[in-house]
Amino acid sequence: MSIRLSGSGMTRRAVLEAGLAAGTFGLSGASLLSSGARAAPASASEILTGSHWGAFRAKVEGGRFVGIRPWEKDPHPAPVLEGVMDSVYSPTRIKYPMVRRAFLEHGFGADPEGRGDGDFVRVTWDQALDLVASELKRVDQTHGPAASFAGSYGWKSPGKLHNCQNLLRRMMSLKGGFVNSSGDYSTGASQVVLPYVVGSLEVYDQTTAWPVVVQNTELMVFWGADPINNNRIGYVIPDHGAYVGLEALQKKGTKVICIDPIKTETCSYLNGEWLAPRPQTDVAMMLGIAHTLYVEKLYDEKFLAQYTTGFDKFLPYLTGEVDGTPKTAEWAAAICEIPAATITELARRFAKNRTMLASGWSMQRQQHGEQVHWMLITLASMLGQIGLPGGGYGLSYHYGNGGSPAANSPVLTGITEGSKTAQGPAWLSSSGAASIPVSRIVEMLENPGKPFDFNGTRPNYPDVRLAYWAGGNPFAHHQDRNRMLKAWRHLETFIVHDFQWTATARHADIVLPATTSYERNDIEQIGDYSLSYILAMKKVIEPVFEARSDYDIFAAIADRLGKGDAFTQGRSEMDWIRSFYEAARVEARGKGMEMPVFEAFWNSDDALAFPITDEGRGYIQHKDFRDDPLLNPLGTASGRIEIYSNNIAKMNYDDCPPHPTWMEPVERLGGPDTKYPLHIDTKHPKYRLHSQLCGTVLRATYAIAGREPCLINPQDAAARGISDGDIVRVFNDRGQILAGAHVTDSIRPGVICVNEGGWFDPENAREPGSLDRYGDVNNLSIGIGTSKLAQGNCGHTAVGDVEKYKGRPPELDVFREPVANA
Amino acid sequence: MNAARAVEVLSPDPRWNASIAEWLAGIFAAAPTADTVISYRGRMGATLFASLAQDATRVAGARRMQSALDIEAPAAVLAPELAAAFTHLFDGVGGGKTVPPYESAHVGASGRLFQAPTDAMEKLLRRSDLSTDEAFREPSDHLSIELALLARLIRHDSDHETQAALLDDHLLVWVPRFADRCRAYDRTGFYAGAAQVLVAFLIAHRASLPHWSNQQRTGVTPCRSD
Repeated sequence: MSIRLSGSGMTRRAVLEAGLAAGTFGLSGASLLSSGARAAPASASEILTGSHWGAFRAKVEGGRFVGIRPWEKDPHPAPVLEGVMDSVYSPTRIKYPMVRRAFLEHGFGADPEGRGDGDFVRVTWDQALDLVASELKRVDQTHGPAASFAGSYGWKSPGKLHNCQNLLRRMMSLKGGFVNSSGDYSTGASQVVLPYVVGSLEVYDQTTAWPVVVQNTELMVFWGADPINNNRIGYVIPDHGAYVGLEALQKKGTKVICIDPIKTETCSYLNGEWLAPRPQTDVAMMLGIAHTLYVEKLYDEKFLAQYTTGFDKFLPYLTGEVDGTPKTAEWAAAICEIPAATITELARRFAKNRTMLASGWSMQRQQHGEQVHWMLITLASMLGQIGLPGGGYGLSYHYGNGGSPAANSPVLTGITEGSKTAQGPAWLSSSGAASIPVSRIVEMLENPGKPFDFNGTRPNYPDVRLAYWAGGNPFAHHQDRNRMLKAWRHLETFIVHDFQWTATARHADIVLPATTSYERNDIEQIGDYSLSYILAMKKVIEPVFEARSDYDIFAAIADRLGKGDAFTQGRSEMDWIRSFYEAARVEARGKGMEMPVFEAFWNSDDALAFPITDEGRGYIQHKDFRDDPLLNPLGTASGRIEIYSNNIAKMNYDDCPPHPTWMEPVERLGGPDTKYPLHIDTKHPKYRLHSQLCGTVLRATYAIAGREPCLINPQDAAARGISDGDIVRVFNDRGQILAGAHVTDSIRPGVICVNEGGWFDPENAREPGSLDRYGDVNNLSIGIGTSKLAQGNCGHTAVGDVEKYKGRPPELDVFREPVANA
Repeated sequence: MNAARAVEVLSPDPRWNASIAEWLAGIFAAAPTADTVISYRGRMGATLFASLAQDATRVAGARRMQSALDIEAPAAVLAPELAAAFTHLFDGVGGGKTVPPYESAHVGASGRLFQAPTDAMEKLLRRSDLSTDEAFREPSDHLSIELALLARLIRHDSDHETQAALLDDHLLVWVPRFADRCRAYDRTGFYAGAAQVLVAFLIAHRASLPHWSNQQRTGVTPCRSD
């Protein structure tokens, strides 16, 4: 019933309809549907797979991941599984390839200050891959291979094929080189110094097995270690075997001491004695104990003579002969705030009992971190119980479920990074055109071409123009966020793979949507130390949106670089998985074990178990060395524990002397030059793995006023008018964050704690120093190396202050709160 | 041109309503290209917005869309601006200011995507012997799919019961909330305006259908496509 336009044969409506149908106004809804229904989905099923938090069974209905329950053989499932499911379907999921608008319109190097603004445009996969390949080529041709950084540190996901960091470097090796990184943020200092002290990395070596500890240890000391908290996660798939050991320890009623600024879950669970020294003063405290052992003749001279070297050079320092300052318990007490009487009593108790010194890694994530485990091992040497059942020290009871008895199992290999490069300086890593200590990335960007000291060498920083990141979130794990923001502007191009819009993804120029582990097939082991199962990580659902596996993404890029075949070797995903399994099967046969054929393994409804051995159950670290130090020497120059290291002496580093030494850090609670009154502690969060799972429903279980919690002692809170639940601003000269106050006497006065991994959410992404609204503690930490030896990260060196936040709390941008709660 | 004003009566014309639904589906499926912006700024676009503006409930939204398109910038500059706004609103990068275009995000307590509404939509599509196009990599409870199904049913002027169900059980449950958030967070006005038009359209269309209660809706007859 519409009026005809004069002279036209059609109504205006008809014209418009035709236009709409013809796509004049863009995509038409009509094109979104096709004739013919999709087949009705299969009935509900359960699929077994795994994650950094443990193995689990995923319920699938209608092709959707609808439920999750722990694997029935997990002795202590982690409480985060709901978050795992949530992360797959989060509204912050990266759906399509994206390019930052300024980069797309004006090319590389455009408006680097605008990174983090979230101004992205969707592109097709072809466009994105072409752009990535052309950028890689451009940087190589213009600046050479040492201008692309692919160190790409982070915890990624478990799985031997979809190891996105190896895959990245595999592609980059084929491209023709890149800058790699060495070390890690976990044990940066210790893993470099301990080879000089005990001839191995030590921090990733199996500790004395829990059954031996439970049977023999009389005094269990957790020094900066919280195994109940930290063993929920695993680098492969955790077996949670530590909880079996800890439960047995608790039932036995073994005496436990926890030395920590916080009364940890472990301390409560084991009814431990809580000693809370000032953070960063542990070396002084250990020296005080050592001094007592010496003067009260409680130390094991024979052990020192037979199994160590250099005590004679360390002793004059301990007694004060060399510097006029005897490292007495009183001297130590003034620094660490533990009473001298307690320190001397500790020495006596350590000596009198079969003592296990179980240390975590937080203490070595501080300036001069190299000294901490060196001094701990020196102390253990003086006690002389190393290599005895339940005695000595262990540096991994808190990580990877160390102490969980090992199985007799084959090594499961995985996808490799690629071959060595042919030329270059002596300090080349196994792949890459250059390498830096992983946490010196900001210094690298700030000082291209300049020299730096590292572990006896003096290389130059490369001049990096492009960084490619997969499986990591440096805008969570790296220190001194604001300094990092400025340094990052030196990069012309920043490419990121992820599946959630993390702060790092938001900071990228090119973002590629990766699949989660649950949208692809893989294979992995269960138990970081026990290696007690091989698990088929079976795909739960098809990739969502336009997500692709990192393998497929890198293969496509390699293809554009003319190296597609070299990358894939003509193998499919399942071909690779099968090849890893088959290699393990051959090795297992050599050990007298017959693994099932691959199909039987893959189609089985359970993980493949390997037998825990008596040897595994009875394992005592360094027993072989103790039994026969000549036949089983340590990997040090002398074959013994080196309390004094000639190699380190030759380096002449002012910040890393040749024996364990107390040195004042640049800032600490009670430090002589320290401006701020509080130490800012940070620990591993219960409901996350660093920043993983921060963008999920789990946050509702712990966030306070929507922010990351800040633990604060009632004394410190009262002095500042802060009440439980208040929004507070934590600050120092390096940055400022908001957090939610949790007033508790589980933390000692003078120390506050904001857990690491909170997502960075600056009020103004263009302005370094602007207020971080959620609570990313690395806005406050210091970005220096531990010393010239290890150049490890100092995430635990931070002082600051806290105040109640006045004014209207700003809205968060970085997460999307569920609409129903908004 | 005729001196008399051409007055077009808004008749309940299925083809017109289907076209509007298809157009709106397209708006929320992908950002406009520069060519599309040029079309909007041309005669066809003027006609489109004029037609929309004749309905009192749609005029505000239509005007808002037009203002967004009429800014002083070449189409080649405006199109990426709208694309960035689209991404910010609908693709998750907006963080707290994301407005997920999925029913699941707005009805479930968890805010997760791919929840029960996805299943329900799959069932409705199957019953109509339809499926989401392979190239559109979105779950079935995406606004554009729900609208595309509605459009298909309207175009064949069939199965008013399913149309009512689609509106009562799905679109009208969550789209008003979705539209509110678009209005709050869309810095361009284009999507805020489109969302306004959308809500008005859905309400009007529902009103034009018979009023069934849930009990009365016993079963649904499948819609056969041509």
